[in-house]
Amino acid sequence: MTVFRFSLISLVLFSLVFSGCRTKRSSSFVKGDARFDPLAAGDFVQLDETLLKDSDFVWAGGYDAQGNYIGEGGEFDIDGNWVGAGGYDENGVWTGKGLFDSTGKYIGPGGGYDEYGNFVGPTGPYDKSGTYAGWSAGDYDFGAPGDRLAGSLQDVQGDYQVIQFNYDRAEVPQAEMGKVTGMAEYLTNNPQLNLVVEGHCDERGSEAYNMALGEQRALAVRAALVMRGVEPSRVTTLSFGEEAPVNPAHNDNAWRENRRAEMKLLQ
Amino acid sequence: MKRIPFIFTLALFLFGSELFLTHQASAQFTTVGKSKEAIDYTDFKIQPIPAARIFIETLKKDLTTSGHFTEALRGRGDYKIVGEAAMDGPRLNVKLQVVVSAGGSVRYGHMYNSTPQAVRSLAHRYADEILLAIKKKTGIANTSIAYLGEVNGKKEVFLCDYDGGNPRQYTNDRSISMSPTWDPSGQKLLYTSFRKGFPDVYEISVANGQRNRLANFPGLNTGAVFAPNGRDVALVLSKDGNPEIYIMNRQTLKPRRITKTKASAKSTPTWSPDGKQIAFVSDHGGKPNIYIVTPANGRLKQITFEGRENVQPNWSNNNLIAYSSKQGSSYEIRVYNANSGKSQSVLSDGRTDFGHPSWSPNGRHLVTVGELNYVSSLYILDTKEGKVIPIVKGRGSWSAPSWSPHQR
Repeated sequence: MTVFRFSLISLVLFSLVFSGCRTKRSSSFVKGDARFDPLAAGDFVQLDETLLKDSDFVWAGGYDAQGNYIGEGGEFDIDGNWVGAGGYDENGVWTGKGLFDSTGKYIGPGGGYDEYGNFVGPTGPYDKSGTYAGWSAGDYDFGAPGDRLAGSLQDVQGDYQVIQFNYDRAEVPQAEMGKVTGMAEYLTNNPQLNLVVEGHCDERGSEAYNMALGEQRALAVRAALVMRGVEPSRVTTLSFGEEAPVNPAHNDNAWRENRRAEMKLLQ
Repeated sequence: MKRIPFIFTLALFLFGSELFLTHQASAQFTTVGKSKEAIDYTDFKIQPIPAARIFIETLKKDLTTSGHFTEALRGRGDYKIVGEAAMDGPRLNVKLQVVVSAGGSVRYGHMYNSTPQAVRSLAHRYADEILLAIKKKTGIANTSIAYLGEVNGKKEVFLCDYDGGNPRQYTNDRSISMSPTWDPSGQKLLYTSFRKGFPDVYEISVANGQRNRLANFPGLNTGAVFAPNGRDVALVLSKDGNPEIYIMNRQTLKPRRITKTKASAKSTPTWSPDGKQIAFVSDHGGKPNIYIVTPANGRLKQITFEGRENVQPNWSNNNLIAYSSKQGSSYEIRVYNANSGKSQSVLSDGRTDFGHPSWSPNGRHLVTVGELNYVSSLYILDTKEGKVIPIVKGRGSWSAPSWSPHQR
């Protein structure tokens, strides 16, 4: 079996090389092709298209929809996403075993991504609206955004304070999540402190809508903190909409600076 | 018929330097079947003092802006206004009659007086009474507009007459104020203020400035608006983890949630004239669109689908919902007819961003913000004729107008 497998793999490699790496087709190996040094005529019979189909490659591993070899075992779903004993998440990173949800998002080996794109753990389904339903099925709800916590506000040291958001979006961008993680650790180590998360928008759009969008940004940061172990009651939200910009100019640069959440400690 | 395009062109010419109106198909403006009636003011005597001049000019402007009358040349009106305005001691005394030109019958006559400072209000009062007497229609001359203005980097609530006259600063919170709205009696305003560091809803008496805080829940408290019954308040709260629409009784102040969607931004609830539905903005469908919710059963109905954003709905007494819609690169005012389900554009010029429309109580005029080069001004629009008049402009940015109910 080993020998056979070795030959087959070599032939697979041949087919990759000589068919422009499109493994779904093996048309280069037409019988009698002059490019090949004829070994025993019988050796090439097995390379006939009728013998090697796409599915033949599956047992030795799998290929994703782009033709990249992605390891052993597995199947493709009807959309062509690899869903077997292994998978690629939406960033193209090999994530091992698991399933894809109906939107094509990798939902882990039985785990899932929340609507902010954060991996939220090994268990939990998506509800009908596509929202990750959390550690236990149910509403995505971390409860009230904290009472009006008393205390005086302190700016956070270093560059943890400000989290930038993309235009018209309320998810914490992946690149900014390190600040949230850092703040969660800090709060865990300093239980006497609480936190206010301010939400802000750039000036485009209606002021009333931006009040709610700013609140959503603050709520997103709060949710991310809670998922990193901070008690929900320690974090409150405060939206200023577009009313408190840091940069009063009317250009992309200013708008980018103004689309932010600011974390402020309460002591 | 000729007078209508003339006035339109004149308005364009006078105010058009910053407002290039490129209205769409003229079919949207239903011109009156017969020509408007004309009023001859030339026999009204005024003492040559400012108060009397302001009186007659304001009266003329009110009657013309109503959309029902034009100003006639001498001897050519359907009606004549006769009488006089003259000082009687410290007060301006006005005797005024409206007479039908053909036949001379008197359709209206009253004598009022006022201090010289209040002469605009006097003219507004006459204008609405004349309109009622002759056309049996309720006018808008006796209404006010609440709005926001920037003062020393803060936003405060202002009031003015419907034509922009008598503008005055109303709050002095030295903080950020947002979205003032009127109660149905015209005696109270609701608005959002950050004066205590968080966005809270306040009710404030117009007559004496007495203030009550109505909502200070964790998170957002904003967009508060009285129902037609004067007892319930719709508002946006995020206290349960997501911005949603709530209804709160003015006396008990206990909110009841009436929408529940996945995490999304919501804003500007506005009540239907029968008080049974609320239109609002939500982006749970992917982008901001306008939905109608029926609080009795929680059913949602989406009413806008096109464009990139549809925001700031305002529901008129005659069942029309005006809103701001971003179709291309700028925002325009559109009106959705809740009876027919059809929507049409009423104000756009391809450059100015028009937004935050608020209907007058007669459902014909609306006040709106027009923003160009990041400076915003207030305009009133006659939706029947497409006439636009700036009312609050210059020396800063003015926003968030709300048209009062009829007063007095």
